[in-house]
Amino acid sequence: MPRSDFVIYGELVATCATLPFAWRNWAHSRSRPGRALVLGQISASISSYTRPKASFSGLVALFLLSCTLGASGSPSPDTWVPVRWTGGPLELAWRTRAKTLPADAAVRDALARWYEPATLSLLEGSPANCLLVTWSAPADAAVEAEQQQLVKVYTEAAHKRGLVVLGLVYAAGNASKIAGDAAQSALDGLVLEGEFGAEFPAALRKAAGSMLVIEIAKDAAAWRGKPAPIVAVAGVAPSGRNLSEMGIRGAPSSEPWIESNIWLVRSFGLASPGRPVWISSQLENASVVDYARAVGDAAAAGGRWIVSVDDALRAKLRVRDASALDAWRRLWSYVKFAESHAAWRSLAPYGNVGIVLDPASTKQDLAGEYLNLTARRQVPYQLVTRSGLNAATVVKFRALVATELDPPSAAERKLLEEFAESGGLVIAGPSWGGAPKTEPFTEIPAGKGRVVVYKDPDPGAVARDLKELLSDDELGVVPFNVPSVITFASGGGPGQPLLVQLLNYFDHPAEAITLRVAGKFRSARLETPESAAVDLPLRDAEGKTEVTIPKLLLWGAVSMQ
Amino acid sequence: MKEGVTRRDWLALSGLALGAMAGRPAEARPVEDTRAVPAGPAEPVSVAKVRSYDEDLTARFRQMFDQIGGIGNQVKGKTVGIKLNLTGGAPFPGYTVGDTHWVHPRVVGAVVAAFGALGAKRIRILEGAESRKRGYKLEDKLLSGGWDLAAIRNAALLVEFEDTDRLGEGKQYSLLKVQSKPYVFPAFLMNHSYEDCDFFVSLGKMKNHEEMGITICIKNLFGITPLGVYSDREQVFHYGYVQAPAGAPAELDPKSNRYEGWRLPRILVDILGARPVDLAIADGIVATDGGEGPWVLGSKPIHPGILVVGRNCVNTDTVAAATMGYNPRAGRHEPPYRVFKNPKDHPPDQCHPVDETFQYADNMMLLAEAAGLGSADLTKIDVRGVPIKEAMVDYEAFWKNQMPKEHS
Repeated sequence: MPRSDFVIYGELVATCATLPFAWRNWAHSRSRPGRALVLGQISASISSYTRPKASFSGLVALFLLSCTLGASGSPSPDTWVPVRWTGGPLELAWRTRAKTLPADAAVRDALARWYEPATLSLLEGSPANCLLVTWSAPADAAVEAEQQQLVKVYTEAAHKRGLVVLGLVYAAGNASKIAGDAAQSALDGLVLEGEFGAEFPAALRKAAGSMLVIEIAKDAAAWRGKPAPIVAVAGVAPSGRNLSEMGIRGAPSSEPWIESNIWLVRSFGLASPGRPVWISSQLENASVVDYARAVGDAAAAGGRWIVSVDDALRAKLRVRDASALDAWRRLWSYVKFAESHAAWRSLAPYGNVGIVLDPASTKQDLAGEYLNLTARRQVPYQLVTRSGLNAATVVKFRALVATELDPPSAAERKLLEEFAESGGLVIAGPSWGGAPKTEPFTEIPAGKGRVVVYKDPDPGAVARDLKELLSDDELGVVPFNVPSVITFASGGGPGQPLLVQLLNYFDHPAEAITLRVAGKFRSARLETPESAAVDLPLRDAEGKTEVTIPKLLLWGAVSMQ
Repeated sequence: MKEGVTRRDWLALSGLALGAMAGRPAEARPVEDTRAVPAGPAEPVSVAKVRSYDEDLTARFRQMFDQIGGIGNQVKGKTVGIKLNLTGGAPFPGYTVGDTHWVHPRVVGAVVAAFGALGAKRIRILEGAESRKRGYKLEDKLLSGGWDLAAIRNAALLVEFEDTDRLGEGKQYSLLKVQSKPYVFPAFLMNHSYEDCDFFVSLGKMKNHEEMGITICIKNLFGITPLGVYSDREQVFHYGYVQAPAGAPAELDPKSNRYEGWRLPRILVDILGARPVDLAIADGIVATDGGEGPWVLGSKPIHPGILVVGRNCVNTDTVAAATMGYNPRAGRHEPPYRVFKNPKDHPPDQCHPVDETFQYADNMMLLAEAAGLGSADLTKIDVRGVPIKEAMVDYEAFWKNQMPKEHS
């Protein structure tokens, strides 16, 4: 599935040199009534980062950023709820250049006048607190100056409402001027969105000093382990279609084609669990359901969709069209649902299958496909870095997908062999040895367990086979009747609820979904954005627990205690 | 046309009172299979118009069972095996799999309830679950279609489910010999439940099939060949690229035609000859037109609103095919047996039948008739309940977008 990735990157990351500056800002900040509250937010944000393996440098950066912004009364970055809020003459100039200018004159007019203060009232009552505004693009100096003057005034108004404002930079330019103008306009950060080489982002970060700079990067995998306070990824537009609708003749076992970002969001938790992850995708010809799905798809694994509604809807919003306002409110009701369950973000992914990732691998696209398709096949998994592979980490798993270890080192092989001999399942590539000549894979018994060696491992086949190679007990969570749904399980540790979130990628409701979960539970509660929470009856299923969700419109979460 | 009535002829004829048809349409059976054996029984077949799965289907089936002469004596105190028609799991958007390409769970529940009320001692729900997963059960497959298992389990005194792709509760596979003259295979290995039941029901779906033209109650039997034995049914049965494994009966002539449109209809008749059906039930309340499921390009849901029930599987499929608007005696060059396969999706040799210029499937009902398993002649079948002409929904026209919207 083709996709482009970008990442937000902050200058404050992990450099001791930034410490004095940040603390100086903190110490010199004015005393404000809201400071205690902000401190509380910061404290809360820190506590959510105390899970094992969180990137220390990333946390330091986030903390410092929180301190800096907290001093100014702004929400801390981990609570930022971003919304794409582009407009003004520079946006029109950029769209003209990019040949994406709306044909409808009324829509163009709405974009041009978007930074009239009245548009801020559209955000009243919504959780949105972080605006991405048009800031810099190649254009006449006069146009750019007019834009920046508009944005400066608008930012002042936004700040009065407690909103954070980030400036979008569409193309490389004079880094010092861009950053300096942004600082003069009191922007809270910059976002690079577009194609940039390596030099300009570095120069902009340098020029921006303590200001958060967001870099757009294509290579998401490269950023999985980097210490950035916030990560944003260009994701897909979440959707689901039957293959036949795409003109593809499938097979009876074929499942609908689903575009989802759930796997992508969670992949960034590998190095820094809990750091904010934003998904950027602009939907075309979208309905409210599409927007709501984008919200849920990003939020299920703990991320946030950069709310981006199309120009036509924004034009109607500007004139307070009733149907547009209704759609707008419905969209935000899904964001509210996500934000009101912020604690879900702190639950670690649940899974008895460990997928070993090698950040140094040259086959990162392939690694991404393992994560994507294993999630698509509803196999709950956790990620393990190759460097983190040891006896202590593997003991919690029932199966390890180790195809990235190609070949495994002697120590890795010994570890995997011992894992198999103690009852585990190891999925290995042909470099393990003993690969079959004709069949896709062979099972080699090893003590109480086995090693499954693939002739030519393919992510789709491995993901499909995992479901058959593992028992329900080994999988832990097994959903039934979910062809249009992706599930994401988290929590389940001692004293924690097991949370199973479900996203429906079809426009029609999914019905009669059964969840079979290993273990005994006392209660199961279904929460959805659309209706009040309900308790689901529990059934015993040969030592496991089953619950049935009668109907899932779009997004739901079953919390099992 | 080489022989037989045209489709236009058939539709014109079917518009008449069938019992009063002056002439019998010429046959389009495969030439080489015309056999000097009696056509077999022609039993009553009941047709009902049923608008939706929300109706009282149990009462409807009781009525239909009565219309075909009653089955109480055969069911009371006996073990009933019901072979369901299931397949892949993805639904058409807005439908359940049971609506369109599996039999509907409410039909199954109603049939179970009807058998229970008739005094069946035990009812076994049978089908291959098509999974290699350890511990996987037929119930899991049904859950994957969103079925309410408890509703079915509680519909009669003793209801069991068995995945007949495996040994299940049996210790060995049963060898069932083809009781009619076999075409391709002399016998099959099957799960014990197909031998152990006193009364065997084929509960099929009235839908099209990409390669066989139609799927009703005869085609439904294909799934009783266990994956635990035959491993890859497509390779062994469809194409004959791989011979049946050691221990399973070998085919009579490994050099016979490998083209699936020739081969599979004959194998289906052999299976029917090995495990004769005591009651055939065709679920056509909602179904799939243009294929057997959503994965077939061009297929789509259709709402015929029909149930067909008969004691003889061939008779029942014949009537059901007629209610689908097809000439039950159609030949290779007529719908639904003039089939369309995308060359990209099938082995090249399967897209170029050696003896024809067009993709085809032979008419399995005519082949079954030729084997003496039942009549495929509407003039000999006593159709009860709703007349065919009143029940008929033209699948072919709907597939070609020539139907009023109320059927979509």
